[in-house]
Amino acid sequence: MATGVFAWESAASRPDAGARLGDFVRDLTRARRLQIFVELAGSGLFFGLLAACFPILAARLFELPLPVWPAATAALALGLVAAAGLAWRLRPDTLQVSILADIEIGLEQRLSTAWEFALRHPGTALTARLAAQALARRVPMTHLVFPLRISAWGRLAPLAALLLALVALVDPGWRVQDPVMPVDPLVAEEGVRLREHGRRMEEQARRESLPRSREAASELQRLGARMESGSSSREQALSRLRELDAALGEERRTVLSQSLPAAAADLPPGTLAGAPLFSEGHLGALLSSVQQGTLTPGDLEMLGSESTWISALGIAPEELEEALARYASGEHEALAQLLEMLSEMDGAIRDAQLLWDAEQVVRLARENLGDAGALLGFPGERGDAAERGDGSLALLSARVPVRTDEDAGPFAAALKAPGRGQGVQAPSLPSVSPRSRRTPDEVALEIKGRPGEGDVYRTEARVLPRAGQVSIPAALLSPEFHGELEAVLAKQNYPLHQRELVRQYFLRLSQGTSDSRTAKDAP
Amino acid sequence: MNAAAHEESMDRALERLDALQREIDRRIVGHRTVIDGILAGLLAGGHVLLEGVPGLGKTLLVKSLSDALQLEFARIQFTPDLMPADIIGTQMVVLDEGGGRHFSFQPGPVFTQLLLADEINRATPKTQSALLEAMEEKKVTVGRTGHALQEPFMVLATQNPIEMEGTYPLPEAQLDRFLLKLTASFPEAEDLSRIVDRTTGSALPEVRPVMSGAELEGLRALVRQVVIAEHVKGYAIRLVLSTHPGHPSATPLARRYVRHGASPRGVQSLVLTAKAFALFAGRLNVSFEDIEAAAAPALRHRVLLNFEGEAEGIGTEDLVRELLSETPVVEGGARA
Repeated sequence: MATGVFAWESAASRPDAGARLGDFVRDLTRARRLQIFVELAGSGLFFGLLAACFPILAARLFELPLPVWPAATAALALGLVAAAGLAWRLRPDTLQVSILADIEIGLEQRLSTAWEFALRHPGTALTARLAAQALARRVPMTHLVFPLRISAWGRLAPLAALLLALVALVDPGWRVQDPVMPVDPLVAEEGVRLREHGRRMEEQARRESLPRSREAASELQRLGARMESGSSSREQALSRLRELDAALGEERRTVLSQSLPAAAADLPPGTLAGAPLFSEGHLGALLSSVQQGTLTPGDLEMLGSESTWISALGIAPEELEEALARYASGEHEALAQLLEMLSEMDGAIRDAQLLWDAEQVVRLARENLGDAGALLGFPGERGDAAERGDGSLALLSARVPVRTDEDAGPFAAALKAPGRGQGVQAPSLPSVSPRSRRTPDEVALEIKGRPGEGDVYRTEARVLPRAGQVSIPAALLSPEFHGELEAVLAKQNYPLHQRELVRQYFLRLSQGTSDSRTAKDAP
Repeated sequence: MNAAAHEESMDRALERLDALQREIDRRIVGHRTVIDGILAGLLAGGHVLLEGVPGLGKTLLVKSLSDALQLEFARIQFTPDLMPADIIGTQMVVLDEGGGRHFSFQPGPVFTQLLLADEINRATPKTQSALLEAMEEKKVTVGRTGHALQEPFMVLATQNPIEMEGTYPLPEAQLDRFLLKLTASFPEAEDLSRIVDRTTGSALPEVRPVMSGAELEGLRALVRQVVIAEHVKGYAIRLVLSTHPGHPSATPLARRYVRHGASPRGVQSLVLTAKAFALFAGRLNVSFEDIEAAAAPALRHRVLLNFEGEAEGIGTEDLVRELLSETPVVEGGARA
């Protein structure tokens, strides 16, 4: 039956219902958007005021040089802007508002249905009819449908403002200590020493064109600078020092094994230091003269006198003599090759020497920072060096006066070369340095004296004690130790039986009866 | 016809609906929701299953409706020995004027406009299913010949929920073909008093015919013109989806006790019934309240419980109630 159907689509009696519906929904939408904005603005104000407290508090508590009021204003503005942005993002469209308004007013979905239908089918009779139906109910004013209201957070904004005022005006004088880790002065001091040594090492390496030493010197300076800056704890510094120590040793061994013949791989650089042939730049000048054929008789004589040193590098004296003879007969090639080889070896040994020096500095730093393991690599550690077979003992021998060939290691022959002194320990040996901080100068075992100064050279040496081994020959022990020993034992709380053991041990030492058995018995 | 005349016609149609309700009220006491449901089913063009204990006036209600509607009315009392042919009719050999014999289709009681299938669950499934085609397609096929039923056509079936012996529960497919399932509850004391007054007097109140079939068709078209907004339709869809135990929005009871949720016919039924309710309320649009009012009669027979639900005596009424309380009217929002 068509009449009834068409009747519903007629809205002749309400010609302006569609337009009025549009106006009404748009008013509602504005009211709802304003409502959302006011709600969020209240929340934004609250959180902005809270945020504004933070820069003020931070400046107070941590004494930070912050521009307090601009920062606080910026925080407050940020809260409000964020609220405005959120309100814009959450702004409802007209359909959403009409759905909400239906629920708020209780229109039984008349409004939303009419508006949705109007959006889809504008201008139809049914649209007008639905609009008229939606507007037929007495509807409150739009601002009553969506009244302005403050959110729960917004209602707390006065409290936040009060808090801000309190924070701004009242200074209780609370301060937070600088949470930065305090600088360990010992680490920093060792860092300075490392860096300084690295700098000197770099200069020398550059001057003598020693690339590996330059690289190692840079590493040394970097670590020193880091330790000096205080950014490393003692444990961290020790860990890095151990790593660097191992790396330097490895580098030094590589230099020696790659550049020297197998027979001369363990040759200590110090061995060559006293020879005029190996003085800085001399080999190069000689080589140039040989190549140009301008070698002087003095040079030839000098070369002949250096055969001992040259043989220490694994070159037979006969080979040198033959090269010199050939040069005399006008054939320069053999002597030039020989000098080139010597020059390369000399460079490698110089490189290894610098690396070794760096190792000593690193180990000293380790010891000063309390690393007991650092001693294992110090000069005088014969067993350790011999176990490693890395030539450290030989290097040590070049610098430390030793009494026996056995102590001197495999380069004893080289050390007995003309012009080299052989020192003995001073009879009155000072007490052994405690395991506390020492300077490199104290540790560096330098031979004092000049070659050719006399028959007997007086040297002074300090060695590091090591448990279970006799570092100082028993004959040289001072009887004064006995009194000191008694005094020390009296002060310490040693058990009686151990006290007697210690006493007997030292007495045997003083009587020159030390042996491996007694050494093992030492406490 | 001008616009004013159209509106007048519309008002007249609504008056007819009012008059129909008044006429039924003359004879039937109480049962407001049942009467509204039957009228909604009538206007939505569906069939209604009426469930209630004996003596509540179910049959009288249907009879009163037919009296008020000026529609052809037929009643079938379903019994276990009822055969499909007893419902749809059969081919009979008849003598023509020339003395010849030929088969002629003799229509059964289903060829009517308002069919009362009384105690439908007493017939065998075979006989029950004889109504399937008539209910769904509004036609009956006998042999190779299809016979259209007269519009408007509506089946009003009743069933007794307490006498289960000798009954055959309706199969799910047939239940789904009922637009609504209404339950008649026992009347209150005041209503009982009025029932006694009306039925123990000298004469029963007369019901006058107030609506023709054509007018009913007009109202049915009117129901389909009622507008439903997208968000209201979305609410109806979410209600139906929430009955499915595997759906993310399923309610706790549905997850635990439901074997199958409502079919797509459930949404159609829900929306059509809600439109009818909107029309009763004089609105051109469907509201959330219309959907909620239609939910129970439209969904209660479409939700199939699992064994656990049957064993624990969970009713689909409880499911629908939970459904309405758990599902927000606006997606993502709270209950209005």
